[in-house]
Amino acid sequence: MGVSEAAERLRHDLAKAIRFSAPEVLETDTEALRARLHADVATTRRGPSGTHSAAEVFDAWWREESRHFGGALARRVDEIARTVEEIRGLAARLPSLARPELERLDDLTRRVASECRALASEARRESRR
Amino acid sequence: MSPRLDGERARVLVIDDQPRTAELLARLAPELRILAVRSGGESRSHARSWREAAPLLEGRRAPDVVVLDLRFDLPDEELLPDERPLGDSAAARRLRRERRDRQGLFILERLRRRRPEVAVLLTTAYEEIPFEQEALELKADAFTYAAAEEESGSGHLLVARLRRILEERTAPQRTGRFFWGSSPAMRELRRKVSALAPTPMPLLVTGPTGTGKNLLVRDVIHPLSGRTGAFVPFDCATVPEGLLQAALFGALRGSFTGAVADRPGVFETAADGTLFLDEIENLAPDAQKMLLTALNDGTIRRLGSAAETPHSARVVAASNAALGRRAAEGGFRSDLLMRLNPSLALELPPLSERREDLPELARLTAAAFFDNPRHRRAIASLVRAAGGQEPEGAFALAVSERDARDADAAVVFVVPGKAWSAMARHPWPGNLRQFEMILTDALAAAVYAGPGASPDPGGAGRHRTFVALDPRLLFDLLAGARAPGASSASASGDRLALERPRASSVAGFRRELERSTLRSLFREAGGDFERMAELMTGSRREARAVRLRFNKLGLSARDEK
Repeated sequence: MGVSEAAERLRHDLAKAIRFSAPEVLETDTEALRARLHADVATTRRGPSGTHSAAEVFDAWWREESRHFGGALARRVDEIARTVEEIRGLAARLPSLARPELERLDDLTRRVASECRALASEARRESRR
Repeated sequence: MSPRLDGERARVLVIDDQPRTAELLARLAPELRILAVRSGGESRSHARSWREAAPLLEGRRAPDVVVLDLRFDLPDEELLPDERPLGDSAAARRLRRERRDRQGLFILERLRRRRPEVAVLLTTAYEEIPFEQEALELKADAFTYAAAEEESGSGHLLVARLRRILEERTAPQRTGRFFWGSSPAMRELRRKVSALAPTPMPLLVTGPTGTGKNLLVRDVIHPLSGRTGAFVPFDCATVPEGLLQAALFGALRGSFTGAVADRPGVFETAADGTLFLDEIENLAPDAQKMLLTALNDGTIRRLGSAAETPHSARVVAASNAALGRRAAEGGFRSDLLMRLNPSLALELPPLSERREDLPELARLTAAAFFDNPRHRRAIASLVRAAGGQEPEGAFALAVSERDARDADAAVVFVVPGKAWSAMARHPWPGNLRQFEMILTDALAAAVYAGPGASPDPGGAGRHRTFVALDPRLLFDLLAGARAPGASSASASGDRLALERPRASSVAGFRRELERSTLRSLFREAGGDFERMAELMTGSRREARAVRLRFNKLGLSARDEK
């Protein structure tokens, strides 16, 4: 099992899903923004095994795959983990979040998607060496 | 947006282990009909596996587009290729991961076998798809690189791609007389033509004889180019070498015997238009050089003149030969070939590689036959002679009994099942031209010399007349339409001598077997990947895929030579 495949899997399961419904321009309607974040962050993956939030998707990946990463890639994974922790905290209070906090959560989803992409690119380069 | 030609909503099948793609499509593209999947007593808007999707790909009405995910988180029993438990060993876990990661490709392979004509949009999170080449070989129509763009959601990108594919699907099957069909190769060609036709760059159109190169340039590329001048065809094979320069670039009075007046060449006739140089491989070396100068400098010189004048013709050349090989062998100028942008060449596939287009081609060929007023009158006489009512309404061609039953037409011409099966299997060395000729001949025989028609009073005031095409005539026409020697393919010539490889696993054995086959083919083809592709598939078009596979298996052209 290579780091590249593991990173691509995170990208598929988390980065693809966490901004899946995001429009090009941030919703001006706060409740629409909340509903979209609920769909993308709180019910990120749904399947026969149930519904999983973005944080749970990351946790499952981390348990299975994080051991493959070392050095700079491990630091990148840690960054993603920190971002996911902040997402977890905000998502738990999603129904009562005020507009600035919702925007912060939206920003974090963008960041985690971007970090996952960077991890996949770096892992790919690493595995080619 | 994206209605079907018959006015119904476009039918989309989503194959994804997750429901979100289907939900998003329902929300963002309500004009689409997302097909319902029934499984275990419940109804869902997405098929979670091949097992759930397969029933929706049977029957007459296939989906217009399949949206297919790449990675599927499914239990072993639902994972292709063999849907069986894998166990819990380290090897089994590795295999399970691999199957989940590539499940979309396994599904695509099955889908292509069952429904080659259906458009497939492969969705994936991968920016650099690890399986892109394999997906292309399985003729995926498009990819969405989900989350590839920082700001916009992948769902919106998906909807945009899907709408574009549907627009292509609902585009007319014919442009002028050029037949598109809906095979993946032709859909790809349509995209390429749309992008390249409006540009001023010289183009090269390739493909075997009878595939419609001339029609593509005349009826599609020239009108799309937006150029105001004429379309001027020039057959490089039929003009004597001594007259080529004058024919191409013009001549001054007295420049050669018989030149009694100044006359323009085709470059001037095609000013601001399109000059179509057919069978360019037949151009003599001197003419190739002059053509290269005209393309490089944008100027021409009439025979007998010292003055060079600018030209404004856009050149589109066509060839049914492998110009790359000709150039390598010295039979065609490589600098001229380069000037024709060979990497952007528009390749028309042989009809045998797009058999899924045959039913539509048959219907359109018949429609052209029925459009002829003389044929319409003859058909009316035929119906009256058989005691049927004066036909009012359309005529139709049916290629199966079911087609005939469902045909909404006053007169239905029916290709008998066995004859159609033979047509569907025929190699069609003369391609579309030959297919159209044979079917038109069979229709004419049925109308003017056939045994007659069978009126069917039907029910509810529905009077129809059936006319069967003569199967024996069709078989005879097909027998005469085989390529010389095609039926006597040499057994020895088609066989490879392979060593039986040894490996420690079945997968390893398969890999070694493939390596051995490719090495053998590489030697047989003298290191020419185009030739290898031809030996493997009957066409040179897959040369790039062959080369990629060759390299992927760890083979090196340098080592093998």
